[in-house]
Amino acid sequence: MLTVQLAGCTTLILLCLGAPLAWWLARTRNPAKPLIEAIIALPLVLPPTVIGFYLLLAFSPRHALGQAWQSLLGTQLAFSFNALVIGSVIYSLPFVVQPLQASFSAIPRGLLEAAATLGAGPLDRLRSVVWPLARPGFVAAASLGFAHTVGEFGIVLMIGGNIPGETQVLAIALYDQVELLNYEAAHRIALGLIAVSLAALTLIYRSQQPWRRGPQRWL
Amino acid sequence: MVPGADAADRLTAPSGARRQSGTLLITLTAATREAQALRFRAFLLLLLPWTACGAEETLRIAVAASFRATLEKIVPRFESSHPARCRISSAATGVLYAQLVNGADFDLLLAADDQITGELVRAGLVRPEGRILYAYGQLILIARGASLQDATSARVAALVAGSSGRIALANPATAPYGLAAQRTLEALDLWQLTRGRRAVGQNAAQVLQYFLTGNVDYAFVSLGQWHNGGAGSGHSYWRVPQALYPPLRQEAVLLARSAHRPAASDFLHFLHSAEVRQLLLADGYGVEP
Repeated sequence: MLTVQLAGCTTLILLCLGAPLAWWLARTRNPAKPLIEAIIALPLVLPPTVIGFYLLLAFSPRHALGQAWQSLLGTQLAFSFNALVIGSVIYSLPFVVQPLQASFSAIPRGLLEAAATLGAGPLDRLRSVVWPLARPGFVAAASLGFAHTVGEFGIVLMIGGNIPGETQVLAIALYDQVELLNYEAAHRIALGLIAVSLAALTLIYRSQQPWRRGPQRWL
Repeated sequence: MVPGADAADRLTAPSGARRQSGTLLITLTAATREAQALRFRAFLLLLLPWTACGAEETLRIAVAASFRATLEKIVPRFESSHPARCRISSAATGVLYAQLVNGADFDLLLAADDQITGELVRAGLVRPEGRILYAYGQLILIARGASLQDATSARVAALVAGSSGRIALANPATAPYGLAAQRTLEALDLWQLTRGRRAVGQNAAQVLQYFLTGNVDYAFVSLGQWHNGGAGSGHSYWRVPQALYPPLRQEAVLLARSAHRPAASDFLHFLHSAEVRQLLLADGYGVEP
């Protein structure tokens, strides 16, 4: 349950952060764009240990982020559920931003301009042009972000502290059982993860079948 | 690779040569020959470490994470008087046990207790004579500030109970120092009280790292770790009284399937040498009289 909660929170935050960012990336001609795209893609390349190492330092009450968190909210950031959410947001960022950016880029600029000349306001254009066209992108971004967070392991191992009910996600619980040679318990967790992941992915792919889509889809 | 690239550069680089085709041809053949010779020499160089590997024996030593730093001081002393080289892998003792049961090809295991080594003997992976006691471990609780210096058990219990800071310990299921920490907290009636405040590390080394990065206020580690990097300025430690946890009889075993039994046996004997005993005492371990 903790795993689903973590993946859910992370996906929600990522969609809120990722959508404007992806929209900006899809439209901008800013010379800094390649650098920003590279920064977003970094978690794809870097071993989770690099991110885990710096997060461990950053979350400590002796460093700025951990200190600010503690003085603002009164709780310690290190080894908390919130710390895992922050770590997962960074780790899964490219998996949400990239599909969104691709689907936004596929929306023809002319279509938006046409809608504008026909008198559609920004909100109306968002609702009647952008949303229907980018919806598969959102589905892909949300499911990839969710799935990738469920599959996260290295960062949690470094910054989680293995606290039941707070930071002990399924991947870590499974790892513990394997180390203890409790293969029966390990099988239960592993097979459960496989079944749930397979079901979720099948549902997502089913919703993306071409005959279920509208007439015009770019993804 | 780099010399080859250098020669390739020369093929395209000299603009003077491009004007006269004769000169170009000479440069080209000379450069190709040079590159070939270099490539052959590079190939020979690649073979070198491989042949060297065959010449000397390498002992693969699995060590409890809490003892790694001390072992790293023992190994060079062993290697200076013995032809074998040592390669160290560290993890929690229980993790190393799982790896051994699944066929990891370690020659030696330096455990942090005598439970796992006993299991290995029962499982037939270690012969009874291939098992020695090399040190008595000492569990300590470290904290920031001088708060734990010369503290009594009652004082420590009151301090931990009154604080809201996190306490790190190694996973009691796999790490002997983690289990000792759990027994200590139970003996002090703090186990229930600290629920939700405990951060569990994969092994004693990760616990120390949690503490040194400032992420926890208290941490249970070995005195040996304190003497090897844990003794930061402004930290203090409490030596957990032996009565609060079962003794950490740290045993080393020689795996029966080891292909380097004579050298591994030499290493076990070296652990009992006067030189190593002195080093162990200096790092805060107890040794047999």
